[in-house]
Amino acid sequence: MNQLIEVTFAVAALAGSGVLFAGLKVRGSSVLLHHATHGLGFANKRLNRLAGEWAGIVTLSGAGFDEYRRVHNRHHAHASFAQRGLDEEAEGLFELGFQPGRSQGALWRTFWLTQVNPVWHAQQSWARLRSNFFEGPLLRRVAAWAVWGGAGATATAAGWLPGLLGGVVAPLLLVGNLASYWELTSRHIWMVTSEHEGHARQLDLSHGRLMAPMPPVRWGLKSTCNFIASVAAKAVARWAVLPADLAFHFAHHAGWDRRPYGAPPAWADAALAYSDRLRAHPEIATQIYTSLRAAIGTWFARLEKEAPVSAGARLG
Amino acid sequence: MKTRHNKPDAIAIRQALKELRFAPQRFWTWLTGIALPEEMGRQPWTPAQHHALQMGVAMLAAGLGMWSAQTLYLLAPVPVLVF
Repeated sequence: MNQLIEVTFAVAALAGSGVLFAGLKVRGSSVLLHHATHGLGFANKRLNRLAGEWAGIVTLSGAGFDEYRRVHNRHHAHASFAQRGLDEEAEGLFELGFQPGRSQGALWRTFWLTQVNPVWHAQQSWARLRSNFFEGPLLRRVAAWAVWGGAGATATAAGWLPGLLGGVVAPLLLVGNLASYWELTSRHIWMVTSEHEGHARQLDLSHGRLMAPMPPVRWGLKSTCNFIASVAAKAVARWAVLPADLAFHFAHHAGWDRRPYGAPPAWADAALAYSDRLRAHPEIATQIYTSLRAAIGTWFARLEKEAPVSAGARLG
Repeated sequence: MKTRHNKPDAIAIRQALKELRFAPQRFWTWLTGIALPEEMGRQPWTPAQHHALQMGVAMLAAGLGMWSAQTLYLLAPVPVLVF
């Protein structure tokens, strides 16, 4: 009986650490390293870079500071899922099967099957390890070996090496792959073109990101339990994969958070109303409290008007 | 706009959560990512605070993962014995 309790606690601890690792990966790569490459971290440039590299190394990010900035600048310049060859983030999703013209069902199958594909996990994990330990500037590689080698040496001396590999490195890689994938497939919902019902599809895929548990009409035992479970599930998702939520990314791509060398008002886990610049847009400011979909629709229209995708770059 | 789900808009859900008093409104705002119109803007964290949180969570996650692995490794022979 005691062993059963111990195993139960161990499984719960592993699940809890998985949730924390997922949030760490997304924060490390998509928030801290990302902000640093935009110069939005610390005022001191060297400290800003150091902090960005550190966040990437600790979470085994798939790119160092320089590589992240190179790829990400292209992403900002050509941020549409329909532009192959220009935005490498979009290219990756395209190769996975997120392509215009496919049916809704086919896209959902691709979405779920990718996550349980061991080959995809192995490729992602190896790319992340390679990026940290075998590629990039020499100093960064040395730092990565020092951080993780030091952790390994300490764990070996304490007899915890299996724990480090099975309880830290493996979950950080596996859960980190998933968390980054969920974030990437739902973050740019306003950036797809309207062709092939692109907006509806992307909004559909982002539904979990927008939705929160609806309080029941009657608080019976079953409905109360359902509500508590759904709040817990959403809280886990909110922590693990949605730290930089829609409004932030919305404002980020519009260039509204580019306050040089300082914490912008919408740092990291911005809620919609925390973005003053977003509120300042006259149409969105009124729609944002009545219908999020309408607000996003307005944004779609504005983006397509301001930066139409060239016909040559479109797919479909 | 057609979507696969026929659920209420996120704004409507946030308004419904406003009636629930057993948790602070800040929690519901964090959960939904949507603040109420009358809600005050939040003081943003500094980068140093975000990095400190990141390191704290990293230590906690590593501790939990390593502790659980020490126990769960003992179960590794079980599938072999069963099959």
